[in-house]
Order: sequence, then structure tokens, then C-alpha cells
Amino acid sequence: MKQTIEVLNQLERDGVVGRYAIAGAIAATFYIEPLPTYDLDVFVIIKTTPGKLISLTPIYARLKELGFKPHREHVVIHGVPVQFIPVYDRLSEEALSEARAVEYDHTPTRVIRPEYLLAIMLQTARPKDLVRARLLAEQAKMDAAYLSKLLRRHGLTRDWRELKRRAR
Amino acid sequence: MKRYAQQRKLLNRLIRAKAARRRELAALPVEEKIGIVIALQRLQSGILRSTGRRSRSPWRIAP
Repeated sequence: MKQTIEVLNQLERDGVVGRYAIAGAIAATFYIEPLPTYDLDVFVIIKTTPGKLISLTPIYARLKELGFKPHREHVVIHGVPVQFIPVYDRLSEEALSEARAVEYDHTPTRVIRPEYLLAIMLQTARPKDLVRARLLAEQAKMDAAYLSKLLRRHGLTRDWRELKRRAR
Repeated sequence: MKRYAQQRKLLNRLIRAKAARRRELAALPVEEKIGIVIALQRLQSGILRSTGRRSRSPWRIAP
């Protein structure tokens, strides 16, 4: 995965993406027990020119130059299927801007904070997201005040209370 | 109900042990956890294929 992260860093250095951070199950795995997944989800800010639609084409084109071909919704980069997810709302945009700088095998990268992962899981609310949200709540070290403010800001406090009630 | 009291005690002990194991896993370095993710992919893929279901390929990387 180190080599995959190095390519992500290169995309950022080259200016193909504005900023990126690891999201999804792999991000959660930074904080809790390993979660089964086949994708490395990456939140990205895509640089756009005014009047043009947001597109993943520049990312795919640069990756193609580097020898990695897109396959359906992802690109396999050094053996890891990477799915690029442009930030899609205020919550995901904030999650990316607040992402933590970490190291993976001595390679710098960024990972979404656990509080934001939890909020996104509550927002998407698929059954597997809710299971993962519970695991995060049980195992991840989170800043309770930070989480509370964040959930309030995005109207997710009730969903959080409901999840905790069901977990009892 | 009394009949199963011992079994329930044993089950609770097992559940507590599982929870402790999960906390231990959560505390591992992330590089080791990614190794476990790949092992899970291989396990899942093997089960799916052996039961005639389609499966995605496990990551072909050194963790």
C-alpha cells in the first residue's frame, strides 16, 4: 500500500488533485480493528476551471500516463483498487480539510478523522455503515466535544443518539 | 433456565474474550492491520469461490 500512497502523493504534487485523504473502511482501519474491504476510497478535491463540469478524467489521464488503467469505477494502483471520490457535500468537504496527517510505512499521507468517518457513516446509513459506526464508537479514540459539535452542525445528533440507543 | 446457566456463563466469557481480542487488533500498527485486511480478502474470496459465487481479487501487494 506504501507504493499506492506514493502515487497519490505524486498526483497531489503534480496538481492533478487539490488535496486528498484516505476515507472509507481503510481509513477506519487506522483507528479500529481491520475491516474487510476491497477498495481504497480516497476523497479528493478536483481542480476545476469555471464553467466546466467536475470530472475524474484528469486524474485517470495522469494515472494512465503513469501506467495505471481505470477499471470500472476504480483504478488499480500497484495492486490496490483505488476509488476516487470527489467531495460531494459540506460534510465530506470539511472531512477532507480536517484530515489528519499520518505516516504509513514512513510515507506521509492523510486520513479522515474518526469523528468525520462516524458522521459520514451516520449520514450514508447503509447497514454496513451503521455496523462500522458502532465499531468506531467502541474502539476509536475520539474527541467527544469535537464529535458532538460536528454532529450538531450537520444535523446528525439524532441519528447518533438512535445508534447508541440500539447498541444498548 | 437454570439448565443453561453454565452455558451462558461460558458464552459471556467467550464474548468478553472476543471483545478483548478486537481491542488488541485495533491497537496494532496500521501496517499490520492492512496485512490482516488482505488476509480477510483472501479468506472471503476463497469461501465465495468455493461456493460458486463471484469474488473480487484480493490485493496483490506486500502489505
